[in-house]
Amino acid sequence: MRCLDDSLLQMLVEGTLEGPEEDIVYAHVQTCAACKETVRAYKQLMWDLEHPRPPDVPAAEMAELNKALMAVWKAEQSAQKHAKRRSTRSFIPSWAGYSVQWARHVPPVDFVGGVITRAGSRLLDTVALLRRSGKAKGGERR
Amino acid sequence: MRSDDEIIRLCQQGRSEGFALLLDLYQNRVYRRAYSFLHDKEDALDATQDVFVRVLKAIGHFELGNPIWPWLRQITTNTCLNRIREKRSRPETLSFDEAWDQMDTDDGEGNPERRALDAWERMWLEQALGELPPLHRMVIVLRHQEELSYEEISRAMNLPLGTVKTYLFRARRALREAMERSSRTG
Repeated sequence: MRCLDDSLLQMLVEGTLEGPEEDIVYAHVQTCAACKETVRAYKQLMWDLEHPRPPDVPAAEMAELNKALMAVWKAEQSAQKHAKRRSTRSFIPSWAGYSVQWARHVPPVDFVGGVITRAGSRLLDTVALLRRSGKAKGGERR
Repeated sequence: MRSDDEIIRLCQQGRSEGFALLLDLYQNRVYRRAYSFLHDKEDALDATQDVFVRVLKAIGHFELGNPIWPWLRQITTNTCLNRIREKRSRPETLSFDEAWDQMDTDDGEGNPERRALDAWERMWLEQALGELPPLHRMVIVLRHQEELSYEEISRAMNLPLGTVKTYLFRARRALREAMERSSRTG
């Protein structure tokens, strides 16, 4: 009797064959000693694979890794906060830029303003003086 | 114990305790999965680090209500796949000494003869898994330890369904042959 393809036997063991295909393979395995032995081996193998011995976790290295990852987390959080702060301040540089630009014009404006203020106050003083002297002259005429 | 949602929420609020909880719950699990894929302690540690660095950058986009492990498993699978592809030119080496050391330090239950037999059985399996091509080993782990369907493995590894089946059948055949060799010599 010719043995079945190995993949069919694997599928029979893991239960992925369906309908008549499963029946045919199952019937063959009942009568073929070699295939029966292969199926037995696959059952054992799949059980072993599904119940693995979990690999040992290297405790010291994992503790170090944990610390390193927490440090990366904190750095990432602080970078994100910094980025947020920068984005909320993003209009400030333009405002500051304008203010700096305007500030360049402040001294001349201030100077002109000062000249005007001083000239204006002198003018007012003169007018007041003239008024006072005019009043005095009028009094003498009376 | 905190639920996945609570952990994610804490992380998304930028609170360190959330990330600490995530590490407590999943760091060892990710390492074990990475070790199953890569069969090398240093590689598995590096992969675990890479996985969590990717996680902390992406966790802000994680949708609440979903379980964390499938997401972490996918990141672990991708990270290990990348490492395997990077190292493909280098032949896979078997750490026989490591398997031997594990046998020596195995302090499981049962009598010493049974322990020795268990250790021997585990050793041949570890050895045989280590000798598989890395992608074949990944398919085996995803199928028999993560219990994913062929279609899920195909999506997780971004491989055609036919390729997944071929890798799986070849890998199991190689493992069965190794098991038969070990029972003849053992």
